[in-house]
Amino acid sequence: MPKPAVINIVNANIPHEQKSDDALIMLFQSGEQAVFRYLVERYQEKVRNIIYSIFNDTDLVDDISQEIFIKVYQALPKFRFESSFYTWVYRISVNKCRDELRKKKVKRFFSFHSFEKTTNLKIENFAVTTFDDENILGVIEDSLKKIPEKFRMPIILKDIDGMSYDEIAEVLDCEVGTVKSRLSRGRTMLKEILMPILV
Amino acid sequence: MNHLSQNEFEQIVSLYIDGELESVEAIKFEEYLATRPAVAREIEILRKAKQSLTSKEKLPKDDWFWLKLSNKLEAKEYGSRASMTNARPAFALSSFAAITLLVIGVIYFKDAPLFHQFFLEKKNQVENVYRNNIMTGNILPLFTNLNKDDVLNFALFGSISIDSSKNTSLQVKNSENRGSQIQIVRNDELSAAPVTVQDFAKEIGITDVQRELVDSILGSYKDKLQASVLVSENDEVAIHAELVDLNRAMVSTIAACLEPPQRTRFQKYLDVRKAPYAVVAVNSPKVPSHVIFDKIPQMSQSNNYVVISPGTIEIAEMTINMDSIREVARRQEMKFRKIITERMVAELTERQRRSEENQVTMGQNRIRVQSSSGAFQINFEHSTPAAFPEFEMVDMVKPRMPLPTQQREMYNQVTVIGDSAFSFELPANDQTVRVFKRLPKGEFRFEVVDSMMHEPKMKLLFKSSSRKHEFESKIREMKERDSELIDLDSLIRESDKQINQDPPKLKKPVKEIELGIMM
Repeated sequence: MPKPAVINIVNANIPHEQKSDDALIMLFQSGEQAVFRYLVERYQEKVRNIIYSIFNDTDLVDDISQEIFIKVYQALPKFRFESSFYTWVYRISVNKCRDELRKKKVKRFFSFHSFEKTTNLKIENFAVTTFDDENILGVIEDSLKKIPEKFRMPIILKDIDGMSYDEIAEVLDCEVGTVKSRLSRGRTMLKEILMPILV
Repeated sequence: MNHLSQNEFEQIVSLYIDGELESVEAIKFEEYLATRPAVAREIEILRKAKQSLTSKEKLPKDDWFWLKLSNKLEAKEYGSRASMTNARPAFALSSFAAITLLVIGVIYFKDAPLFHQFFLEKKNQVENVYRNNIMTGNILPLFTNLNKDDVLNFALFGSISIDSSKNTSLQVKNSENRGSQIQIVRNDELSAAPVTVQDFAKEIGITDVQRELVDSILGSYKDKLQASVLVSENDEVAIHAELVDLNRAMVSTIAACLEPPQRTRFQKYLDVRKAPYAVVAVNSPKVPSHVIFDKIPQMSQSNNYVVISPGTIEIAEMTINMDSIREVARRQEMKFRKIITERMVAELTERQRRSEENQVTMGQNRIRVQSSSGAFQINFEHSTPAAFPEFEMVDMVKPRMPLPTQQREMYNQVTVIGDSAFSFELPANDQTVRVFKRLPKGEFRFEVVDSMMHEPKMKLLFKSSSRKHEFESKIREMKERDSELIDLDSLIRESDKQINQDPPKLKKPVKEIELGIMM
């Protein structure tokens, strides 16, 4: 359900660092664009980490996270306070990552070299391992990559970013029931990949 | 559980793993698992997987994120504004306009703001970066938000606060015969209390016009100071090779704009505060302001920076665009600067452990970096007297030579010559030079004993005729004390009283005694 628009008096005596997201956005929308910095500083690490969770590639984090915040900057004048800024930024981030994943998929399809690399990785990482193996996280992340994005995203948001079902539903723009069913489906797929590897 | 569909069962498993099952249901489910070890094992795998993902290490914080983003945003905004301006023709004419714009763009592309911006960015990149892959990433001036008081304090005392809350300052020390040092020190190690331009103006008694002139001088040097110490995203610090001489040039310029009586007061002002420089050309005529402002921009001829990273030290030639420095400085906040400074100081003070390469040469100068916990020091062991040779005003001040305060045990061979003269040997070092400078001319003479020795020595010859009896008693005293320490300063003080300057007549040595000289 859409939230009512926030009608709030921005207290000028509170330093920008301590102002709420909504207060900062109102200031931004009234022309004080310098406050954007405080919003960025508040969420930059969350956004960078979600990109890292999805791609597991530090080289991509910088570019994608900057593009996300540029998008946020451009869209902020039209922000209607119908969701929290936090979930809104997450939604933009997830959508941007989906676009990038699609681009990467197309690239991989046309690149024999990357296919070859992936195959090698697969053989290397799919050696039988145990829970004590310190590479277990790598194995799990590799397995996660094999799950379709629709089922993978809820697992990342839930397990890595620690979001609640409601928050995931808001970010992915779907019902809570859908989140639950995608999570369970994704986990079943993950289990099926991991079962033969982990003993 | 047996009546559940596969999908329903999977959802219960998922909720159980997330801890979202009601407690009653969770107990029932655990009872069920107790009877199904294969299912329990599958769930254990999923639980471990969740645990591993939850404990996945987060990325380290990126302190430069906002700066990089704001650069991109600005470029994007500028670009979109430019393209908006060019893309306003009505829809009906859009195709025609696009072709026209393309043609105009090709002909007048130099004037298009987008291209201008592009070239400006490229130019800055080329200007600011940096051979051998050094000073990569974003570069910021270490000193921002400097006010005139900060600049004056740097001019007078060679120190400038890096981080007031952490009590760290950068300090420049310059000596004509011992080279120069740039140190990062704790504020409590600084001897001078900070001064303000207002108090300075009041004490020197400068006019309103001169006050404006001093303000402008400090403003001009502020830019130089900001461009003198830069830090990069990758924990490198670039220090302009002439920073060690910058404060001398600043004091000289201030002295140059003063009238001789004001300069005398300025000298006293420096003396009272134990400033490292003293005004020597007190009676020189005041330098006209237009000459001063012509000279300041021409002062520096070098673009050499000493670039120190946690592992290396290099010399790099860099041209810094002052406008971009100012722009970056404007955006940079204290909080951000503090983070950078803390990290940079931490990285640099750790460098000793990781680095074998601690020195580099630049022309005839050897530059060494030393670091210890919480501090680091760059030594410029230069043989040339001072930078800015073309900047004549620099001779208006000289480094002060503080009186020796520490007692050092230096036993020297004293040779008594006849009954009115004696000589003794001193190591040929800066202290000897200092002693020599303080002695009245004609009474003392230095001779180099053997410059080829590992530690060259000089012989101080002393001749007294007018106060013969006083020095005879001093020599007697020396003989009686034999190997006891003798205070050379008291000798010098006595010699200061000498008026007559008869050239010494040296005779054969008659006796040698051991003396210790307190310095």
